[in-house]
Amino acid sequence: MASGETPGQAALWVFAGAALLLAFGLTATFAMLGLWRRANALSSAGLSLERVALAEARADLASEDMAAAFNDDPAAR
Amino acid sequence: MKLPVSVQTLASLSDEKLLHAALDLERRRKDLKSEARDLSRSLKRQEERLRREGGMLVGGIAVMALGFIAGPVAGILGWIAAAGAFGLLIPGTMQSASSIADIRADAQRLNQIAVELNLVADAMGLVAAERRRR
Repeated sequence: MASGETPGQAALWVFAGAALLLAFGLTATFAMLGLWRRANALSSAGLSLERVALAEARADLASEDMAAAFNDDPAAR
Repeated sequence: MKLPVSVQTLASLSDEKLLHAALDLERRRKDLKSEARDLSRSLKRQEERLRREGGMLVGGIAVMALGFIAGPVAGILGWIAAAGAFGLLIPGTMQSASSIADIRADAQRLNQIAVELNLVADAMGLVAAERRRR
């Protein structure tokens, strides 16, 4: 306790410090939790991106095949 | 979800209509690819934002910790630094739920695009087979 400080004032300072510590701690925890959940969501979105890349490759091949079918000259076969 | 080309009607289509069906499929494939590219760019932006906010969070926590350590020594300055970090962290925490919803919606649309692209590829195969049959 600092000189000239009543026990009530000292308790108030301790209470204010504890309240701030709790508020800061809770904010940091929620922020970390939010980032972790976003990282998880992004990682599952990465799987969707891979799925689309495979489907795109398949559609590209089908498109080339279809173009070849239309461009085939029956007389040349 | 409907197939872009009906299997039953393919055989009854005229040559010109078969060509139109092929062109429609080709257009749809390009539209889906460009939508997937937009969504992929949006996810990349979210990834960069996550990295930036992760850095901010680590910095914020370090400043908070320093604020608490320096509190009794440096007095009010330590508390101001901690409160500043606290203020920086709040907007990111508040936006987190909406970013997660955005990411999930993008991922869901990407899954739909993958399914539609597979359907378009199947339909293209059918059109090509019909064209070769003729």
